[in-house]
Parts: sequence; structure tokens; C-alpha cells
Amino acid sequence: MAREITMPKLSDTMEEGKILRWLKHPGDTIRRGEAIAEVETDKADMIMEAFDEGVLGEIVLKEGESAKVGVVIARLGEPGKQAAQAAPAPPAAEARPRQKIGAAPAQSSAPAPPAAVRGALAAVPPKRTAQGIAEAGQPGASQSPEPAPAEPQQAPVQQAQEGGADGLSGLPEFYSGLSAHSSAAPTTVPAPPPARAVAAKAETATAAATPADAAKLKASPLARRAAEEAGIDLATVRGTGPDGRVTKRDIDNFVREQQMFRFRRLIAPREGALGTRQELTPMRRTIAQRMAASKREIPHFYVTVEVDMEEAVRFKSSIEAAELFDEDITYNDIVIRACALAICRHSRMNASFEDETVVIRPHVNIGVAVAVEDGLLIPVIRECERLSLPEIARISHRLVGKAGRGGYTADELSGGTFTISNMGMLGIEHFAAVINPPQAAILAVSAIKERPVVRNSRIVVGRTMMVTVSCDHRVIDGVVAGRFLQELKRFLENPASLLV
Amino acid sequence: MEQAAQAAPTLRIARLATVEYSRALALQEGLAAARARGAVPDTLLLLEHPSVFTLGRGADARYLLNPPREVPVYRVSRGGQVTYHGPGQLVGYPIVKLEGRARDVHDYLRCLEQVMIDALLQCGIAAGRRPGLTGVWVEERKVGSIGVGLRRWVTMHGFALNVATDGRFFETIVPCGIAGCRMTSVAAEGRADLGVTEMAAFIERSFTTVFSYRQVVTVEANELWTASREFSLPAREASGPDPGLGAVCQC
Repeated sequence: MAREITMPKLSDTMEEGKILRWLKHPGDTIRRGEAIAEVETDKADMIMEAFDEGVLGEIVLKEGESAKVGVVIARLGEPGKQAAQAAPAPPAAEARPRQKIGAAPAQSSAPAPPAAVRGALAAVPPKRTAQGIAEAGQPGASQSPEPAPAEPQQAPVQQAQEGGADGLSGLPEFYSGLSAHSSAAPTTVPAPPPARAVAAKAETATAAATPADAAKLKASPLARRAAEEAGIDLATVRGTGPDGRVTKRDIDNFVREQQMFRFRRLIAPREGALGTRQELTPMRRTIAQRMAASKREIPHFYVTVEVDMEEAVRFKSSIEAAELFDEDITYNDIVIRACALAICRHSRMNASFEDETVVIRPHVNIGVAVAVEDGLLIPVIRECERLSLPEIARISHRLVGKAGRGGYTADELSGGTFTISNMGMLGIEHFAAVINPPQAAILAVSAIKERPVVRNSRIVVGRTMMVTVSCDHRVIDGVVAGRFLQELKRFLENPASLLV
Repeated sequence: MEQAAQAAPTLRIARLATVEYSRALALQEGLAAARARGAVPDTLLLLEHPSVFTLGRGADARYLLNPPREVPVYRVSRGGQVTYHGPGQLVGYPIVKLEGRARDVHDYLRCLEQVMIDALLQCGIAAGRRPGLTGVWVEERKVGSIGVGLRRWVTMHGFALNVATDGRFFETIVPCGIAGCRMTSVAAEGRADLGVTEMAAFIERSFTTVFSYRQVVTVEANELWTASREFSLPAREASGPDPGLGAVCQC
């Protein structure tokens, strides 16, 4: 039996409300008191909670549409039943709200494209992805298994330094893109912890979570400051120092872990259920336009090389063990540094094809594709040719960390001359990326894997990584791409060179 | 106009000086969650932000005409259009639980307008409302903006009063999506002698009166930040996923 959800009355003077955003989608299990939608009336905005339990059957009033108070906006089915069957919409009921909607457009015709705004909540602060936990812990049909979020990565480009195809200056378009990212983790909660989302950590958190305990927590002053800056509750971090003391390194690792977690969770919900249609978010639209234009106009070719990472692995762990620098160095940082050095020797990799000329850029500004909800952002590390490895690590961690909470300046998202897309964390064997115009090349970095390698005429188990560069053939020829990769490989296989 | 609050007992007021936007938002969220649980009384945060542009969820990015490149842009969990916060602007975030007859969002918005109108009157500036254009106006010039979000009838976000705001930042956007919207400030209306601190005192008084608080407690910023760690500890709420607060720039 289907039950109806109607437009709530939030004020005596309220006549009409507009759905800003559905927080639940057809097929989702809804529990009493759970937030299901955001409703706007006269520009005040309210989270609407469920009074009833069941499975969301049908959404009648779409995002961006308005309806009078009391009009049906959605239907609930019984838990366990498939949404569509549970909610056979009576035709009359269907027609009624639609009429109202029709009557309302004048009022709701804000210039914003509301339909495109689906999920565009960008809660800004570091968020606790409580949603993640709760969903994971929820039994029931609506729970989707961990998805393989490869899709957005394949279009690792969404840079808006040039005007968009719609004639806007790319900048605003880009900002609209910014919106989409955090919507998967819509959250109230306070600064702290995306952290708590990490299930294992959450357990330690509950164990140590009383304020009294918190006061006793051992942490270095540096760690305390770092935790505060990152909005992390120290109680949720497991200390690895003496007597379980929390060190700055623990905080850094924790933040990274959260980012990984968010990365995995974030993309999941936005894929949508089978058999549904989804409006494009502004970010999705930008990606669609730019990727299509890239593949249409740029003659791509691809060159791959296998890099022996044995030394790099050792290099990384020895730096970590020695605690030489404030920040741990990640493989991504190592690849950025190696790319910067290799690009300095092969300037064509740092160029653009413009008006029948090849423009070689003066600085190596490397963009790093970061997955965000239903899309990606490419924060740019400027003038990499002048940065040491620890400097790169510091800047890139700061920039990548922002992806979860926004607050990029225009400068941080534009001006890239080369892009790196790293899917190593997903265990990818090998992939090729689409060039991010107006750049001429993009590097696809896959996972470090144990593979048989030949050393001294013997087959041994080594650790290698595939990297593939996609090039614009108008600017770069095969021999340049090949030499660049050769150079990159040499730097990566002799990591001491990266510190020089 | 109806008084939104029926003699709520205690209000805590915290003056926080200048707070980075995301940090203030996190604090608000923590306070709102704690307020919903009944762990803390109503709280009014008064602060300034470093320069920042914020876009509502449904905001049209074209209203960001030519923002200075070094100013961060947040797309935040509110509806409405683009706005600017920055030095010289007094921002008020009431974290207030609306109860009983006060559970009326429109009344609440009108009350926030009244708070600013009363405070401005104290300094000899005659401000008022314009039908259909929420906010506080001096003739057709806008001096105060409002945007609120509610969850479980606990409010977030609030109002922004231009005291001595650098008007040039507003020129790089279409404030509130109203083309030709002229922004003004307390300074521009002839009271350049008043700063954010002085205006905060007026706002404190008018807020207390409009919302009929019997008792007002001042909290130190430090105390609030420390406490925010406690109430931000996991509050196992039965409701499961905790979605973002929506707020809408009233502009």
C-alpha cells in the first residue's frame, strides 16, 4: 500500500514550497525521523523528515519544482517491496500535483537551473560522513555494494580556465562544478570527522569518546594543532607514538585515510539505480562538453611503460621511517616530482595547440585529478619545476584535502599545463586518460603490483607500475612521448634523483 | 508582527572576532546538533569572516561576475544566490530552537529583520522592509541580508549586516541575484564612526528584546571552541544519516 508524503506547512503564511533537493531516491529505505528532502519556502529552507517508514516509491515533485502545501510530493511503499510495485500511482493523484506545478512556474523561475542542481549541496566544512556509516550499517535491499567507481576517472578533466562551450567564462561554470562534490556527504555535523566514517576508527572513537577521556588524550602539540586545523577529533585517532601518543604523522595518515574512504563512498550514491534517468549536474555537463570536445578535436595517441617501483617503495618507506619531513611523501607526490623533472627536459609535454601554433608554457603547473561526487576536480600545483619533493607533498596534500569540503580559489583550479590521473588506489592494472584541453598530455598512473620481473637474468617477484601518457599528436610526436616516458621511468627507478 | 519566541529563557552570546568561513560553519553545525539534543541553550554567534563568496545550492554561477581570484568561493548548503562576507560586516548566526507558536519560518525571518531594523534605529538609521525582498533596506539600498536553514526546528545561518564593508566586492557579483541591487552599509549611511564591535552591542540588545530572552549569558570564544569538541563527539542519533542543513540566502 502506498502512503503519501505531502508538502509540509512550515509557516502559517506558507502557501507553496519548492523541493531543493531529494536526500532519498526511489528504492531507498526510509526510517522514521530520517531526513528525506530539503524544502524551500520563500527562501527559508528546511530539512524535511519522514513521519513514516517504508521504501521511497515514487518522487512526484522533482527537484526545483514547487507545489502547494498539502500536495503529494512522493509516495512510500512497504519495506522490502520494490518501489515501483509498491506505489502504483493513481492517475488522478498524479494529475493533481502536476497541475499545481504548472501553475507555479512564474514563481519558481529563478534563473538558476534547479534541475541541474541535484545533489549540489556543498556542505563545506570537513564533514563527518555519517551517512556513509549509517548506510553501510543499514540492512536492506537498498544498500548497494561497494561500487567500482571507475567511471569518473576515465574523464579526468574538468578544467575551466578557458571559456566553456556555453559562452560563459569558464570560471563560474567551474564553480558550479564545485558544488557537486560534497553532496554525497551531506551532513550537519561539526568540523570533526569525516573520520568517524571510517568504521574501524569509529570503534576506537566510541571507546575513547567521553570528554573526560578526551582530556587525557596524549598528543604532541604539533599533532594537536594539525588535528584542529583538519577539524579532527583527537579521540578518534589511534596514536602510534610512545604510550599511544598521537603524533602529527598519525593525524596526516588519518586525514588521508578519510580521503580514501570518502573517495570510495562518495562516488557510490551518485551512480543512480538501474533504469533511472539523471539530470546533469553542472559539473557533469562541463565534463561531458570538455571530454567530448577533447576526443573530437584532439588526435590522441597513447604510450605505456612499465616502471620498476622497487626502489621507490624502499625510498618512500625509508623517508617515512626517518621522519625527515613534516609530511609523508605519497606515491602521487613522487610521480608529480618525477613528471616535473621529466617535463623540464621535454618541453613539448608542457604545451598547447593554439591557433595553428604550439605554445610552450613557461611553468610546469601540474594538475592532479581528484574524484569528487559525480565528477572530478583538478587542483593545480603551480611551478612544480621549482618545488622540492616535500614542498610538492605539502601543497598537494593541502589542495587534495580541500576536495572534500570546497573552498578552492580560482587560481587553485586553473592554469594547469599537464595533468596526472592516478588510479593506483583502485588497484587498476592499466588505463589511458583523456587529455584535458588546452593541455597536450595527461599521465595515467596505475597501481603498483607484484609482477614477475627479470633481474640479473633471473625471474623474481618485483613491484612495478604501469604509466600511460596520452598525447595530442598535433603537438607531440611518438618519439617525444617515448623519450619523456623513458626519462620519467629513470627518475622513478632512481628515486634519490628526486631529492636532488 | 508576531514575536517568534515566547519568552525563551536563556540566550548565550559569543563574540568570535574573525573566523574562517568553513570553521564557523562547522561550529554552527556542532551547535545546531547539540541544540537539537537539548545539550546547550540557544546561542547567538557574532563574528566577521575573511573575504569569501558563497553560493547557494541552486545559485546561478553567472552571478559571480568577476570575483577576485584570491577570494575563496564556497558552494554551501543553502539555497539562494551568491553573496559576499568580509571584513567590516557583522555576521550573526543564531542557533535557536523554535518551539510552540514560534515554529513558523516566515515569522522567524521577519524577526531577524526586526533585530537589524531596531539596531540600526539605535544609531539613527531608518531602515525597513521591502515587500517580497527579504532583508533590511535603507530606501532601495540593501544594508542587511538574511538566510536561514532549519533542521528539527533548530536554526542555522542567519544574517549579515554591512557595517563598513568594502562595497567593491559586491560589484564583482550580482548580490542575491537581484540585478542592479545596490548595497549600502552603516558607514555609507552616515555612521562611519561605528565599527563592527559597536554594532554587535546594538544587535545583542535588539536580538534579546525581539526574541524575548529573560536571561543573557556571554560566552568566551575559547570556551565555545573547547566545548564544541565535546558536543561534536558522535551523537548516536536514531535517525541515521545526518543530511546537511539547507539554508537559503534570503537576500
